[in-house]
Amino acid sequence: MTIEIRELSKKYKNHGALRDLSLHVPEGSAFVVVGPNGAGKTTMIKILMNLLEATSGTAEIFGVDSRRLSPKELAQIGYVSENQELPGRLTVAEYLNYLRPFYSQWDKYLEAETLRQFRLPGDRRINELSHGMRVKLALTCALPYRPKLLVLDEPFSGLDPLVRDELMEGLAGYAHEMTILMSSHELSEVEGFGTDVAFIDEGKLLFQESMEVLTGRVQEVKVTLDRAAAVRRPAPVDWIDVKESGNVLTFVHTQFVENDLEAQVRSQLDGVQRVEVNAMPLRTIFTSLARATQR
Amino acid sequence: MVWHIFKKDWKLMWRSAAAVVALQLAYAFIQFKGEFGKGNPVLDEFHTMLMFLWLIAGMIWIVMLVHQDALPGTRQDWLTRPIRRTDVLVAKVMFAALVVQGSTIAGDLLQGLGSGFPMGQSLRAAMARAAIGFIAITIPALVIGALTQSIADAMILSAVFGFGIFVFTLMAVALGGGYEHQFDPTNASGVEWIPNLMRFLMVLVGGAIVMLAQYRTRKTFRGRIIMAAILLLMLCSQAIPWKPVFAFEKRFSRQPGVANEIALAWQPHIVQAENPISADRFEFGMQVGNHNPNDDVRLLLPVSVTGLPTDSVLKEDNAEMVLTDAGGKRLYAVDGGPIEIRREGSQSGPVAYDQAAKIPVQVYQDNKDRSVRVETTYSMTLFKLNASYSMAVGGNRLITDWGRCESRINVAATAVEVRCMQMGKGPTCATVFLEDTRDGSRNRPNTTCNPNYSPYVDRPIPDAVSHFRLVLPFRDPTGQGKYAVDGSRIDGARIVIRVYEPAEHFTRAVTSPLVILKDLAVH
Repeated sequence: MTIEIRELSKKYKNHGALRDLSLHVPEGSAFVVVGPNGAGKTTMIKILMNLLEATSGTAEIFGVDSRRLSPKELAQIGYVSENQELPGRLTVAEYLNYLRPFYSQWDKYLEAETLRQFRLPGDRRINELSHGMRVKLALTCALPYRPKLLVLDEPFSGLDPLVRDELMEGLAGYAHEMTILMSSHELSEVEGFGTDVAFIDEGKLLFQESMEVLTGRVQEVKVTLDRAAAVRRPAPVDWIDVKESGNVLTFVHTQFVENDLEAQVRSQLDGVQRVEVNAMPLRTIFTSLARATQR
Repeated sequence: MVWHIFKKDWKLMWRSAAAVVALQLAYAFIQFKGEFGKGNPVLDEFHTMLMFLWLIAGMIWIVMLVHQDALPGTRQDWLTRPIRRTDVLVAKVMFAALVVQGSTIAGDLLQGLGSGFPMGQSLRAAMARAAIGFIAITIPALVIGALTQSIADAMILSAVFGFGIFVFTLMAVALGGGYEHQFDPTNASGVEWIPNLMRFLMVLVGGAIVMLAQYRTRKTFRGRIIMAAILLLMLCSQAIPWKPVFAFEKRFSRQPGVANEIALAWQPHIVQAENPISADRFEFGMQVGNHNPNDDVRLLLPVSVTGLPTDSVLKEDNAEMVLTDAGGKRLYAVDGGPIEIRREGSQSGPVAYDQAAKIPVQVYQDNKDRSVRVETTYSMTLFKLNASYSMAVGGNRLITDWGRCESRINVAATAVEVRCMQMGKGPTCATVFLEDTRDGSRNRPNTTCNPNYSPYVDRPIPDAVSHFRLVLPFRDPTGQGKYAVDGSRIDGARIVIRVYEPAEHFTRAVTSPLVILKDLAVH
């Protein structure tokens, strides 16, 4: 595992930002952590980067406790955050010149390529850059040494779609070379990007699994009946968002197994005429799961 | 990577660094040009202002330097980079020392070399002051910078600590008896450098601990607690009693045994008014409570001193006086005022003087008719003549021990002003007088004898130069004062400077017989 988080908790006075959160990020994955604002994503990442101290629990990167990350490990980690503080009075080129000697693996060609791709002006002071340009610069400063792990904390927050696409394009080119951990509260940003996903809400991990498994197991089911739809109470726990409309019943099946579905539906409903299964977009999966959790 | 980080900071801060250096050089230049009375009061005020401006600007600059790679907070990019934090710390310390201490060294060299002092002496003095400045200015500013994230944050932290110091001092003075010196008995005395040295060491060690811990763990709250604890320890160090400090000072006596013959005894004089009287205890600093020193009752205790060597000055550093009743019960304790007794030439015999002390009126009223005994423990220093120099009126001379001296007749033609400056720690005790070279007649000597037994200049500001100024009157415009060397003889006169050095620090005790308290009082 590239990242291993065990029972991580962080308390701010009486408020628990993280509650016994455990998570593991497999090597080579593009791991997306999603959750609403205030869910604890940034707190988790800051603890992981040793910017914040956990109240209890441990977080490890490359098998090293995040509190003991040394320059050796940090040289293999890229970190980009929406509100990263960069030395504003240096120019883009000066900052890159400053960072270069700290990384033995720094690839000047890759640096130039990234600068060109993001159209970053080398002679411009950092504090004169727009928010989008600054995020691009942060990413530019995180890629040329080809980190083994790239940590992105809400990198697209507040960016216009054009810049977001540029960044995604930039990232996509290197995603296969490294493990990526990205947090986001906007599902549309990460759709089609991640290989694994975790959902955090109110400091707790609700689930974590590969994107493929998730989209496979969560399906929308539409059942047509010969009479007015009425599901037996209580409905199975893995049926969420159950809606009855005339003789049609729809629900989201959170543990979908194709071969078992027909039998399960017939055990719950009388007069089943037809059962349809539809794949769901990621966004709908999360909103359904989030709603179910809140209930 | 220290050098690499240093270069980055240089790129970001060289302009403000140049401004800090310029302030110090401007101060040194004005001080240099204004020396020997060439300056005017406006210029004097201006250069004092420049000095404080440099001090504040220097400290703010250091805090800003540290904030370039701030430690508290969770958004700094540099904290996620493979940058060794000890390298960052070393780079900051180097740059801060280069700008702040470098500027003082440059300023002091400008003054020293410009005034004709040798390079070696000037450099030694400049380096000694820079070392003190590093501890007293640079380290505290580095610590504040390491524990804060912004200038506003640093101001708030400094204000909180400043308020804490004020409240502590207020309470300590109130509990100690109402006067600052009662809580801090060595303050403004010749031995003050000893507790000061202790405090410098506390800053050095404490500052290093806070910074290393903060750069290693970034536990800002813990760092602030450690800083507060060190500050508290420093404040408490003011309460170190006089006796152990003076006992330590005694070890530094240059001529131990030279004061063995000196004896002090209780000896009522026939006419008190004809004898010298010690000054009253000089109260300064913070005073807490409703006590009005003007209501105090002044006591005069007759003392005689014997065994004074020739060409010496006896300086009282402290006089702890305890009043007890006939049964030995302690009634009151007070510090007596200082006295300085000079013995020049071949005078002999005892010297009588009255030791003054003030007690609150209530203590006096309660005990005025009682028989009391006064036990006085004197801490004293004997200064011995080290060298004697002369210079012409209106002359300018570099004197080995005393420094560069210049004299001139004042505008009103009533006195000769003598100004001297010395790189580093100069002598603190001298008598200066006008002498007619033709017949040897001389005016009454003027003395400057400030007890400061520190072996080095132990202050970071204003500069590494010791200054002396004395006025030798030779004409009284009212016609009442008469001088052996007066205006008519000033052309043939010379200035004689007699330099005294501390030879031995010692203690003596004087116990009075039982006396009625009101017999000692002067109303």
